[in-house]
Amino acid sequence: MRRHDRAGAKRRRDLIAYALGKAARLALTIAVVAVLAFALARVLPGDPALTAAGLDARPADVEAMRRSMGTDRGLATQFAEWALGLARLDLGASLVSKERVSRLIAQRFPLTLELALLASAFAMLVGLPLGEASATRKGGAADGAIAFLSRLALSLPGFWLGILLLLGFAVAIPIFPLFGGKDLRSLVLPALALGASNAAMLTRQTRTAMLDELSSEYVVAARAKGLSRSQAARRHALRNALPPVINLAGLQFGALFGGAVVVEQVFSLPGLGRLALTAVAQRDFPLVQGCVVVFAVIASCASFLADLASAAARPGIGRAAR
Amino acid sequence: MAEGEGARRGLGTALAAAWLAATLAFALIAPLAAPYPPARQDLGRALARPLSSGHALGSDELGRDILSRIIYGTRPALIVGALTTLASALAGTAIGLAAACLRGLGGLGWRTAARRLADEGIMLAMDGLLAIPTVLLALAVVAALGPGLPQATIALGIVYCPVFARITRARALAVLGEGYVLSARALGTSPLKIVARHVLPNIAGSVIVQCALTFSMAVVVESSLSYLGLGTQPPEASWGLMLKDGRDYLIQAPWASVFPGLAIALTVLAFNALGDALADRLDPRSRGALN
Repeated sequence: MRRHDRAGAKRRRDLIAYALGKAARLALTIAVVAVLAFALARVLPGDPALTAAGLDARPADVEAMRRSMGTDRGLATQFAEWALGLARLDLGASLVSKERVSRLIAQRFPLTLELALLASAFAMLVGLPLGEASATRKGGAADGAIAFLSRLALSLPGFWLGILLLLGFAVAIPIFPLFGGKDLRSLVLPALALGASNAAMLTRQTRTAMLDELSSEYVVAARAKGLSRSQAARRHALRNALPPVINLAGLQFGALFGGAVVVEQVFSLPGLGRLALTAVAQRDFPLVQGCVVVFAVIASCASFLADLASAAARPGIGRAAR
Repeated sequence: MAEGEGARRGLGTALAAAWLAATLAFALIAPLAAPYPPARQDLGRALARPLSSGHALGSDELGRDILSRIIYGTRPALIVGALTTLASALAGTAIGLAAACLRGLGGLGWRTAARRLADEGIMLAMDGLLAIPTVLLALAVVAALGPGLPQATIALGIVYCPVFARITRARALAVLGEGYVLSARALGTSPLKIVARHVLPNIAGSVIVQCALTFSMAVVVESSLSYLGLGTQPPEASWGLMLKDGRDYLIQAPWASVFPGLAIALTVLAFNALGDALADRLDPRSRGALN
């Protein structure tokens, strides 16, 4: 009993050390992203002031625009200002609407978050059972069919799948709206389009992880005890196969926000993705920078949380993790 | 692997190679193969159905022939795919090799510490790039450079570079720790020679496999950028642009949206199948990772 406690305390210590290491890495990554977001807008060729003023603007106008945008000062000053603002969660003001970037983003955020959560839930609800089914029936007809379907889903671009879904369920059988609203019903098809390839990846990952576990000694022992293959799979292998699947789901969640840029356009949803797109089209670089940072922070945090969850789910993380 | 499965995969790979060869051929002889010039408008025959007179796959809202535009659309897809893959593979491999050598070829003392720090710095920058979702990073680069095909290519080159860097670094570090490399170093072989003789041949397989995957992803993201109006510019024909134009006529002319997407999907499917086949041949360590 005492020994058990000591092992538990050791495991907790290991987990905390692991979490702290990952958190430090997260903070570093976000700092790097802040630098990159700044660099993308200012260091790459192309003068935002020239674009904002218009191509046929007089030099004096362009100069005035540079002053009002603050791009006439040195890069170091500009970066210091941007970094200080960022530390106070202030992303500056939009060049076009003059509103605070953080406010613009906050307005659009809930819709995209809902979409991403729905897509993620769909991917997991489909991917985990299919992956498990495919692993327990390895080599059978079901396994082949699932492999074919997941390869197909991985090859369809999300936005084309979205268009096909619209053709099927908004045009041919009109049960969903052709142009988006803000209710849950108008999010169903976009979530399917966004989540399909993730579901396929989760299926493959679950299958691979399950097969690894099914061939391990403890499952063989469970089978020897008299459990059927599917009982052994469900009671023992699935739990142990989860950590890499959780990791993948976390990585995917961040990527969903990137995919949302295109899917929101297909379904005319007024989310964060369309905000980013408008910002790019208008070359509103404070807003572009803001979107880059917010998207990257979401992605990094999602993968950080997934790392922690999968570490907690894994028996020997303290030793196995780097 | 069961015999039937092997035969099926062989057939799949052959079909994939055939589709890609056809795509390449159409890109090369587009003016000969296409029944119409891609931008020729014929408003009198707008939104013609597939198989109607003169338009095998129908026409779009300006009366342009869908088949011709799909044939011409092979060009931006393949050019962007090829240039993106080449650029990101060259840059990413160079960065990954540099990072691996900084860490793996050091001796002792403060210099080693400095080299490790440099390696960490390089990889941190790559992680930062990886942290930004693909489409958004491409958008941000296009925002700085402006819309257009060359800009989209540069954007995608930057987007896919970190993946190559990470793969190369990991594989190269493994090679640098092998006994035969250590003996070569003990014999005084120069680092350049070690990289050329031992490291490159050992990582080439992984890099080639990654190239096939990158090509297929680049085709998708190029069409996404064109769909968003930031890649290929009208009146040039590109699959993504065709989907963008077709979106407004989903009810009247679904074919304008179905066929270009099919072209993208088949091309991506073919590259993925080819990537799997290459992985089996060249990169046994990744076997199963794709399935």
